[in-house]
Amino acid sequence: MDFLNGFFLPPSADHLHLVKYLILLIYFIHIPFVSLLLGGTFFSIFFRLLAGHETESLYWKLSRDFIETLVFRKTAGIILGVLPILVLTLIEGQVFYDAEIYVVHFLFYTTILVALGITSVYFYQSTFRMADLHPLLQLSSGLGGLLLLLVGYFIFSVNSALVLDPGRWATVTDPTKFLFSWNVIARFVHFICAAFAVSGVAMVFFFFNWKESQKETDESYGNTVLKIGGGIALTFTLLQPLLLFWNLITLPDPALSAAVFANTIIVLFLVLVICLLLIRLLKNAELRLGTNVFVLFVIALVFMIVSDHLAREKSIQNHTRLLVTRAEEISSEIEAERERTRAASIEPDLAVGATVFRNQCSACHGFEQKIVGPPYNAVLSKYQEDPEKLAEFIRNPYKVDESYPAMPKLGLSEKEIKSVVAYLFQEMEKQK
Amino acid sequence: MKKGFAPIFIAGYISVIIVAVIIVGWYWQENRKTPPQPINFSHQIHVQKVGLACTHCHTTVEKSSSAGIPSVQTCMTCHRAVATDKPEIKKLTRYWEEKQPVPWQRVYKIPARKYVYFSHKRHVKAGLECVNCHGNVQLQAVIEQVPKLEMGWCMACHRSKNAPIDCATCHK
Repeated sequence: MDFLNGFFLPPSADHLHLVKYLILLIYFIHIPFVSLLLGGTFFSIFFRLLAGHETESLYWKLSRDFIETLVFRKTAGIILGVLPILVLTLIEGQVFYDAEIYVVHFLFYTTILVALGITSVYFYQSTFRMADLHPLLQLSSGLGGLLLLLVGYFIFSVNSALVLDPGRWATVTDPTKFLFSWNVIARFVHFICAAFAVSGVAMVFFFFNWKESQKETDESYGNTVLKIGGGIALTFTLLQPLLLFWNLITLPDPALSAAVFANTIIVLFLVLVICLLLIRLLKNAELRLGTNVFVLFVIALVFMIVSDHLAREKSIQNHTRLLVTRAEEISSEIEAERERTRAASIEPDLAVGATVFRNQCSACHGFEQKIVGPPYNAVLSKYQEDPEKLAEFIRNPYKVDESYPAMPKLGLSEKEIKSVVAYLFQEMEKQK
Repeated sequence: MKKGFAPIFIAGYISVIIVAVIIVGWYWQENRKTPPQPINFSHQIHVQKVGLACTHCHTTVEKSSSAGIPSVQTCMTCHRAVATDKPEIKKLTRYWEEKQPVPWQRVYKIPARKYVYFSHKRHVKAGLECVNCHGNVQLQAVIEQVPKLEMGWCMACHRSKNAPIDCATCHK
């Protein structure tokens, strides 16, 4: 990680706070887009294989409509597909600055695979209407793209599962070492099934609401799209409760919190409503329900993403605290340096010294008797030649005598330190 | 299945999963790895703010297999005079006055403990720092177990540091 850390600056506390929301935003943008991309490509290839060479068949039409309806324009592929993963890689480099975790490496592999996968899928999409020229080349570009995306998002699942398990950060140095963790498999299967369910719902929604070509399609084809889109949505939505449960029970302990359980229950209620609406949609062909289901699905997806984000924040809280502390240390060092420059001109004030002694020192020290720390009359004289040495000890205390506990750092200002040093020497003189 | 039964079947199926999530949540709440402690002790205050070394309280870490939980006597060395007005220190003082130990709940547990021999002394002598296994305890207001302490985790570290990896090293 040392090599990669060279590219990143240590983040400040405010920066880390901002980054938390930025990551959430990236997920909101990227996950729905890539779900449709995966679902659209998979079902297009599936129907294309069923159609064989018959370009006029129903399956061929379905294959074309899945890839043309669900996979957005090419610019969207860059803005919603590749760019968010690239930004996420850079952000994670900051979040896991100096941590013994290979998250940036894994995201780097994902970025390359996703970029190649999206390019290949766009080639498949844009050449669909010329498929009869080079059918095998066109089909293999789709298949290749799908495979690259699946491998890319499998590594992405490895990465998200590893982030949730700080106990393993130092020991998992390449994705293959974490392949057979239950949470990785649960996460990946859940992601793919959710992507397919969203694709089914989106097919019904986009085909009947936005797609220009549907105006010229006949009613029976419209019914087929409704049944197939609705059927896919219902099948994969029905799997969601089991997969949500599987994912939950395989989450590592540091990731669990009451909020994660509460979010899962909300998602399960939403899934129940979605399933009931989908059954009515399929039974009565009520197209207006398609919009309701689509909106509910987007809400459920938001809750799933938030739940995962809460798990992530809980798991990395110790690491975040460490980064915040380091950032504060750097700024307090700068402040201390300024304070030292100012301190040269500060005059001690005996009244301030007396207050500091009364409020802070006297809890542990007396002049004659031992309380928690040693009596002043036994230790102060060694500083009489050099009072600055005593001031330095009060600034940064360390253990001197094994028979006493270490003195804590009192967090006093320079004025208070100089004043209390002057006060102590004055009081010692009085005692003599 | 008749279509009329499908909504009832689905409602039943999802309700079972919801109940299962609630049961798992309840089980997790009861068995979480950060059990509630009798006194809200903060490592953050004592290590980061006050600047105490780990060995200040865990005195046997260099001498014995166990790091040692400090006695009430150790706490009271300072707290007879320091922060005596704080509610948590008042709780501590009550244990002291009643001559009772504080019933701390164990946080770090080795799974299948009876089959494993672990010595803090040997690890500290070999040059390991406390943070290597316990994480940044100085930042934890409430102590929690960071690594799982599973065999794979031990083995990975032993391999990377060329420490012995025969079975008998840990399984006596």
